[in-house]
Amino acid sequence: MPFLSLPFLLFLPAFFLLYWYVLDSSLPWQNLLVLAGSYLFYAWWDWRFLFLLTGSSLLNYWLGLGLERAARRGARRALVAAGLVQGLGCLLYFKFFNALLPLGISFYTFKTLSYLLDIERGKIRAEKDWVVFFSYVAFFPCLIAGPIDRPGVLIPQLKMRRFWDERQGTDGMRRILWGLFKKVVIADNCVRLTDGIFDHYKAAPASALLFAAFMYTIQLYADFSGYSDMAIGIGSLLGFRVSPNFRHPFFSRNIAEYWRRWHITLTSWLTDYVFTPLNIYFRDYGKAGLILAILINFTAIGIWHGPKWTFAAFGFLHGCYYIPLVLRGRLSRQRGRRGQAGKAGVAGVASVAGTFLLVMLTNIIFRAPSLRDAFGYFRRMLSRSLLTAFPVTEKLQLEVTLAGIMFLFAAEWRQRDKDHPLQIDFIRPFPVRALVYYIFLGLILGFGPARFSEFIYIRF
Amino acid sequence: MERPPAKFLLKLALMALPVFAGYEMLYRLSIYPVLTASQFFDYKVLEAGRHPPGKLSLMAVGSSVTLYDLDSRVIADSLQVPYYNFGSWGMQMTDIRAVLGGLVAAYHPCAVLICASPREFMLPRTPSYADYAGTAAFIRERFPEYFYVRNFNPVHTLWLRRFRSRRPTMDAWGGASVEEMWKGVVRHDKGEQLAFPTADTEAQYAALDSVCRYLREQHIRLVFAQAPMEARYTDSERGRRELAAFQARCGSIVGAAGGNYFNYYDTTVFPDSLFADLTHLTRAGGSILTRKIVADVKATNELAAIIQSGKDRGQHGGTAVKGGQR
Repeated sequence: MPFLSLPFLLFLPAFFLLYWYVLDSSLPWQNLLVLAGSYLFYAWWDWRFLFLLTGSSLLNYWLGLGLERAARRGARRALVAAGLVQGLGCLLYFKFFNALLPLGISFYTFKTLSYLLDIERGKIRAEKDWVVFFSYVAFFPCLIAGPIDRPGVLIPQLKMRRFWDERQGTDGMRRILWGLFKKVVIADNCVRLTDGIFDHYKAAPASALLFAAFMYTIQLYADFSGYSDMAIGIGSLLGFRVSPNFRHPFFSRNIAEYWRRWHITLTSWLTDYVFTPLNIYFRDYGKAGLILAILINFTAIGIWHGPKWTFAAFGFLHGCYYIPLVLRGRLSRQRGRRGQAGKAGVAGVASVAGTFLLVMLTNIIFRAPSLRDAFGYFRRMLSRSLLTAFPVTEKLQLEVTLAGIMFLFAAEWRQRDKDHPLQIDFIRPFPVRALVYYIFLGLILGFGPARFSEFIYIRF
Repeated sequence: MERPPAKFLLKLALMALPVFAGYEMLYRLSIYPVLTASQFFDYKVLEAGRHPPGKLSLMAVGSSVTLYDLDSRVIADSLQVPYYNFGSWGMQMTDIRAVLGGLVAAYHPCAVLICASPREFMLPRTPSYADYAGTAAFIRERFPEYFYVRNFNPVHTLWLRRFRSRRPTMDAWGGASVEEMWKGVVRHDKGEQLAFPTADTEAQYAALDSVCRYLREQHIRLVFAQAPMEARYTDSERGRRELAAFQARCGSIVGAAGGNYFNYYDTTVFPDSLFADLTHLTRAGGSILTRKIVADVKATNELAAIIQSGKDRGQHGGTAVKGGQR
């Protein structure tokens, strides 16, 4: 069931009450509820894919136990290979050869893969409690579109008694509210402003195409990070600390910093399991080897989205943007750490704007139905009609969305050292804080779209 | 394990309370939720829900033809029975079938009047009517605020729907005049010819059959009035042939289920000058049609008796019940 639906609006409070008030005295029962709730949540879309989810969980559970017991290196490798073949095989089969893509398969497959790989690397031990493991794979807040939590993060939390923490619960609610604001007020209003232009770009002036590219970039961020915020917020309500997925990516001063702040859990997953081994493998080739590892890694990120040349090109181009950084030796992890986002100054602002522009232009390829359309879009966008005014029928929508975007960036900048901008504990009087919440609620209920669009990353 | 303190839940509930109160206020201000794809149907049903006309003797249901072509005053004065018109734009027979059960359950009519032309048999069904009808009757009738959540629409959209959209002024029985709607609008349908049947027509005939059977099961009499249309709309050999076939088919479906079928397609009685557009009569034309329907009802003894049997229903027994004044 989608987060923005009546069934979920009923499901979540019922689950919350059962979780904290009925089954709170027994951890196994509470975990069983997490599992049952997750399966119900998933089956609401299409119960048939529940077999795939359960089967995948079961196989990886056995493989994990087998890995733990296997002493011989060959046997261990065979078990990991079996897991890789199953996970990647299913992923490739459904992405490339089947019109029907099971929801969340890209996300939960990465969870099972990292589970086996981490056991093999000795980072974690195999989980013996099947309810805990199955709950880890199917944990409903993150099942459909991430964040992709590692087993070392989520499994220990599932095995530990969870205590209600008022601060964490309140913060979860605030984060859900912030996610809703981003999704409903910004992303869904952007959809109405951009879809028509992207679908009929051949008839639109260049100025409209530039506008749509800008709005789509914001939409993608607001939609995906909005979902992640809601997932993290729901996790917090249940006493879990879910990994963050975004950290103000549009304040990044270069592409490397951007990818450390965008879809963090996927990027770090691929860094650990794809890039790092490749980098080690190519280490003898110096910077050329590093560039090759980056290009392969980013092409993999692109292809992870689906079997389209546009996605591959999107990933490959992002990899290419790293090349100047590698050549100039500026691929440092120290830059852009939390709280350091985009230090003010002309050079800083120019770097941030340049990175945004790069991301925005590449998102045109990401959004286009084909490479041919992407090229057509670029060609038209660079035509002389760049200064031509274009009609906007949804004026109120435009005004609200632009105001929302400005507010989004202002709030993120002001609160950049916090997990999310609605961490407003510095406002001491409760009525003032309540007023802030009501303003957000008013914006969500007053200026959202008439129909919620599907979360973009649910398709992947 | 430590539970969330009641204080947290209480705080959440208190925070939610003004939101619920706000929606209730919207409802009281007639800024209604979205029930179906037709904002006029929504408005009508919700207004009728807030100012219930009570049990009806005669209930008109249908599309804009039913809405515009029936003169409420003529029915009220001539039949002197509780009456209400639930006609709304764009409803096809499948849509009428979808909402009929709910309306019958709420208003218990003795007879249902459908005034229709081929236009009610041309388009696919609109799923939102069935969605609305599929909601529990208790919620539909007693707790329509539920639809603010069920069919979420932002408040500014609801506001625009209520205050900025074009909507005819309803009379006290739910009827309206098409002339008011066409005021200042340039007609583009003058050269249009009836293109009938369509791919959806068979499904619409099936829906009419279902309406007939349903009403018979409920012991409610169906009065099907074949509405007149501008002569030029069917001014071709094919148009006339298709229209004749349509009339025969409707007549046989209604007749087979024990309903009353009256055909008012008569270009001599309803010349083009009595039409506001291809299928809707002017106020004068509507009065003529309604008088003819009333005369035919009265002339059919059994039907007249059925309708008169509900005379003492409603809030003001003996006279036609008025819906809420708007």
